[in-house]
Amino acid sequence: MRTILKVALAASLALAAAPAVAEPIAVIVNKDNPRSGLTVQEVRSMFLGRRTEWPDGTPAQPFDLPPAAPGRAVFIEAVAGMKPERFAEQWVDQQVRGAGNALKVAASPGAAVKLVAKFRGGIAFVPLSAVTSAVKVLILDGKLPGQRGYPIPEIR
Amino acid sequence: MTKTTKTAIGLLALYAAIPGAVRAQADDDELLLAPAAESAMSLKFSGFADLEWARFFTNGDPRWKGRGIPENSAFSVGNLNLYMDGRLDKNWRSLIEIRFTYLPAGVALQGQSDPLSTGTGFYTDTQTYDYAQLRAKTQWGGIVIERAWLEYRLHQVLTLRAGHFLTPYGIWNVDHGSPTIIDIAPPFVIGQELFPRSQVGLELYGSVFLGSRARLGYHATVSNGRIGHNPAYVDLDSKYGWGGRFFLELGLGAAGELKLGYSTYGGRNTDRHQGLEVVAAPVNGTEVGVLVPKTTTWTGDEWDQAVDAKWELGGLTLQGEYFEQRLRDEQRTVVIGSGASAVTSSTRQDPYWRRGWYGLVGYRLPLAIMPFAVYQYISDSRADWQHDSTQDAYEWTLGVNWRVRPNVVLKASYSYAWWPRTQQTLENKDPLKWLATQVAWAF
Repeated sequence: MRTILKVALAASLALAAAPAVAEPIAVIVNKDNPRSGLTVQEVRSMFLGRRTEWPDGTPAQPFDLPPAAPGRAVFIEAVAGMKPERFAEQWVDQQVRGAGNALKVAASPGAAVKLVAKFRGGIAFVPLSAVTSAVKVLILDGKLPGQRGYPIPEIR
Repeated sequence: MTKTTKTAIGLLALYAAIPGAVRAQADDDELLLAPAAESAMSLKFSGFADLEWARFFTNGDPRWKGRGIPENSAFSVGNLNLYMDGRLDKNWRSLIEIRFTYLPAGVALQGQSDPLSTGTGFYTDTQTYDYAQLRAKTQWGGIVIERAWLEYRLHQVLTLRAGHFLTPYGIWNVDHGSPTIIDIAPPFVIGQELFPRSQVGLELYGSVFLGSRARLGYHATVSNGRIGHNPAYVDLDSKYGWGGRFFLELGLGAAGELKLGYSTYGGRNTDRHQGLEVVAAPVNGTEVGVLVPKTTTWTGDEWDQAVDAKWELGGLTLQGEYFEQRLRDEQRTVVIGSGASAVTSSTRQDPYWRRGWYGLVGYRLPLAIMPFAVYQYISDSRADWQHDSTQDAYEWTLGVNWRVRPNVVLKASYSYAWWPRTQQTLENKDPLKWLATQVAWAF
């Protein structure tokens, strides 16, 4: 029994000591979307329901992720500038005002990629590893995910 | 062929038989936790409700009775509003909001006397047998149409809305629902409707982004005008009410976010009320009192203006609204009797104004707890202060608002109101103090 405990402790210490794998968060849009980059403020206004369409008139359709999805809290704090609870309140408030709730919740990062690939006005955020060739990764404030100065911190 | 294979082939055949659009919708639903695709027609039910408990400290002063101040503290479901949000197409949307109320429930019209001194009015028995539940009783109740509109969106800068809409002015009337507004009671300037609360007609609105940090928006409305005491579907003067609003939202980076707005409304309002009047009439040579119809018509032109500002920085919220309403050509015409024997009298009110403002400061602490304070004022230029008990009033409120969930809010507040000019001339000279609590939720 003591040996098992020692092994478990050693494994835990080894895991704790291992360098955390950092993963960037990508903001993705439909491949037919002519935009290749946005500012963080533009993404923010879309995810807060204030900017409701793209410059060519296509309705913007932001996709959120489930509350426990990796990177969601990091994205909301970096882009919307608020805690996830406050972000949820903003959408409840929008609904009570009668502005509707345009934010749809994708079941997973993979689902978000498929939805963005399907809807021309779609925009979502996913861990970079979930991105496929079906969607386009946006440049944010002039930086690509993983580049120094990219405005959204990496998931650790 | 095994039984499993046969079943699989059967399922595949069944899947192939499902029309493509239905299948696509089903596929979307698997991808989404919240269903409905942008192009599909959908209907979503939501709403809000609140339960309030208030205690007014009137020291048993009977003069407060009949002025809308409850004698006893009571629980009440204040709002129970249901939204039916229909996405008809990519560009078409409909919203219907109805409020379920306990009214009329036998409540007498405001201003009628209270012969039994029972409280804020007198009540008639409204209980009746419930046609749906044997041996049970129920009470009259009503439904209020808060909003019912259809809109077509051409572009972010232009959406056309038609129907019954909330007047787009200021902050409070747009925030509208108890889970969203910070305080429990609306400020005087909102409650006294210095702008019409809602209208029936047409509205154009839109916004444009100025760079990535600023948004400029507008609303323009034309309607039957102020709804007043008559039904929303009538316009007794055939003059339209015109209104508009401009707003500017500014992202200030480290200095937070600032919203500024200007609203205006102008139009003629005509209300008509019918009742009965006792007049003396000769019957067989003797004067006796007889009941004859009495029609009272009020008409007047109003021009309203308002400015609003809201600044949010981290947990700090500062917001304020200032309103001014100018009224002129207000005339009250009373017709007693009918036909050739009708007697008409008319009185004219000098032009007057009403103005007021409120300021609110709140700070959001951890756990979504927000202490807040409100200071407000309303004034009226009319010399006749009997028009309303809440004119030329001041009030401050201290409260706390705890958003326990994004859609559940607990509120508690203590308010103190006083009427300096009223103190010198009329009754109710004592300040009014009250404690209120509320739980509001969105669903």
